[in-house]
Amino acid sequence: MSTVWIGRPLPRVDGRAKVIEAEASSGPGAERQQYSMHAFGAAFVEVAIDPGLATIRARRALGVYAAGRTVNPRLARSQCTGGMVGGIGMALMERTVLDPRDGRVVNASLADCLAPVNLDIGTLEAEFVDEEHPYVNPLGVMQRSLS
Amino acid sequence: MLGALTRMAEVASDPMTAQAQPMLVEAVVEGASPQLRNMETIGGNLLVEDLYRLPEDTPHLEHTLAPCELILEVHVPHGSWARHARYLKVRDRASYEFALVSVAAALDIEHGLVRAARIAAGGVGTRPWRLRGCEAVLAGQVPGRTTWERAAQVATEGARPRSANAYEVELLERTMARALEIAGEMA
Repeated sequence: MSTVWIGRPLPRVDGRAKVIEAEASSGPGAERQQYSMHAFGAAFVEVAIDPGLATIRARRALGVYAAGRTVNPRLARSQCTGGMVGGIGMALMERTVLDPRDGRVVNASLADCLAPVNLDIGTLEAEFVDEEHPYVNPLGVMQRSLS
Repeated sequence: MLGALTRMAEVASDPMTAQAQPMLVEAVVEGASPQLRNMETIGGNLLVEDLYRLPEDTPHLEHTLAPCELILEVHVPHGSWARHARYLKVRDRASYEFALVSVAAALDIEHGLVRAARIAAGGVGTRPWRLRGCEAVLAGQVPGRTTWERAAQVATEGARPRSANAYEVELLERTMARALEIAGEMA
């Protein structure tokens, strides 16, 4: 990351007020070419399948994430477990239905979208790799909405 | 006997009912989420075939109760039925979800034979569906996998599935076989 500040004092206009003008620019630095700035994660889900009745339930789900510095552990965990719930729902419960006449998506609403309930997932945990990422930004934090 | 205004939650949490009629408690617990059970009454949730009408030419009339008629109480017969009874609900997620297929099966088993059976299916028609064909197949048979599967095969006789629910035909057979197996093996 490179930041350039240009400050330039201006001459007094009327003898009382002083006008100060500044310009700044910020953009990707050379580090971006050298290092990956992505967060990484791996999710493991143990599922139980009843072959007779074709039902699937997630017994336990664990996600491990390398996402820079964790500022707020509770919030970070909540974001990641939430993403895992969404992923399980996407895998097991979601389907896009098209109207064969005009190709419109007929169930494009949250009212039709099933999300897993508490009873659908036995245990759900997210853990973080303790890592320092000095290049991504001055705080070393990353976005976690990746699950 | 249950008063018509008995809350579903009261039935679900009553230890005497759980002991005498475990399947009734199963059906009440699986039938609705806790919030609904706290509000709904047994009379309002009655799942009895005879009270419902088929849509036919009067789809706006759902039941046979005439104006000013009320359900006052519900009698659940005691007997050996309750010892081998199971309500099984198959659904896309484990709670807050309607049944794809549900089966209630009660078996009267004595001296190593099924004396009689009472079976109904839900989620497959416009009303709870009593399966008398299955009941007839089971009567007098030796409990066991072969018997359960033979009964399950006749469960879908006369079914008229549509393209979106064709899978329910096989699912009903399998759910039926499973419900009978569990009910039959109850000690």
